[in-house]
Amino acid sequence: MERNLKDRLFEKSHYGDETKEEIWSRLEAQLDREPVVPAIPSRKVAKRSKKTMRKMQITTVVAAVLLAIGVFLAMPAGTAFMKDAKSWFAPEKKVEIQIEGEKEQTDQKLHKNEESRYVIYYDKERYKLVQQEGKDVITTKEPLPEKYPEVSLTIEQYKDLKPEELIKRLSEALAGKYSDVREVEKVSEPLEGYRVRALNGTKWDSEVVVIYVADNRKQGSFALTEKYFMEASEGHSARFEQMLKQFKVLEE
Amino acid sequence: MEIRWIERMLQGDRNAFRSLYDEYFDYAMRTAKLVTKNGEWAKDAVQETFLRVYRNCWQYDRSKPFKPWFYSILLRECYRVMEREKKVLPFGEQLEKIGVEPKLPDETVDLYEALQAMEDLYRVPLILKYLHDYSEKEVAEMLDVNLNTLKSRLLKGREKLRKGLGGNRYGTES
Repeated sequence: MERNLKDRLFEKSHYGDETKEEIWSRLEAQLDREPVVPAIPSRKVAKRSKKTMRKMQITTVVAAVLLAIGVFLAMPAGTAFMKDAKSWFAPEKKVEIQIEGEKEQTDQKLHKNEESRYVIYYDKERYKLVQQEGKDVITTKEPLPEKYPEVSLTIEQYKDLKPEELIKRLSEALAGKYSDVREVEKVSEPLEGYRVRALNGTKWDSEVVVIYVADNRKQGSFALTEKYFMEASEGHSARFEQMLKQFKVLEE
Repeated sequence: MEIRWIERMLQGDRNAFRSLYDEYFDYAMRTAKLVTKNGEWAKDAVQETFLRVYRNCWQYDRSKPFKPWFYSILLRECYRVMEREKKVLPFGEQLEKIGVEPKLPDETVDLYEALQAMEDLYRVPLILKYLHDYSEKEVAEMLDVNLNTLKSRLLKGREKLRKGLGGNRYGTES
């Protein structure tokens, strides 16, 4: 019976000679039309049990109360309280973001640059912040394989250039490096300022750069430059945009 | 070999993907055709399987054999296509037909039809084992079940086949 079964299965599973190339053509067309590369891991939030969630909520509340008491005690008494409270930022916080239509909870870490007087929160699970030549660069924690273009968000201060002047200069500089430089736009989201986008093609690995320029409130500006590639438009780009929403210039 | 192809695929090498396709297409197509019982659905399942293998090859654990990983994707795609087409396997009707005529001789009930009339629980392990001569251990890995569970399903599957063919439950295995 087993021998017969094997023969019958072989016979019944026969397919046309053209099938293999037909499916390959469909595959190639799909790969060409929607350029895909082996995807970069995208960490999903693990589902936790109700019991664990409850424990976490209690722990979070207790920690928050203790932290608040600590902060209160450490603060100067009287009228200075409100001023100091305004300039206080939680060292870490949870932020919900939407990636490719799915909501995701991320753990964000505070970065306070005392010299340039600004703060930003970044996703500490996926990115690291390094300081290079006076700039703060947020980039992937794990280096990407060589074939991937740079993925980073760089924050740099230009003390002597007003936003209008800086965006003009940066936009002009892009023209020599990118094939498609878009018009400068005035924006209010993810931050107040100006934006210019530039692309180097439409392939999966085509470089994309998005520069935001914000006022530093001291006659100067901040340039916040996102670099990623076409395929990462829904991933890294969305994460960077969320981080930019948390960007705050500090009062002197 | 598969590991080398996957390493190259991670660098975006389409030729490596083609080599993997050449190696696995026949197995995949035959399996999909038997599992879905439909040539067009099988094509859809195979196409989607290779696409997923290409997109998700970074997820493949290189310390484990490739075949079970590949087949688990293939089977999932087969089920997905079958669900999409709202094709409920008509095994109930065929089982009934076989059931009321338990003494049918081998010549009147086809072995293949009897197999395809069985529940997926027994049908799929038998297809994987007999179509490609995979070992029970390999089939257990593909289906992600315990080896003893797989053995039990194969045994029951064979018994059901014999019953379906009107043969003796304790008939000899050829």
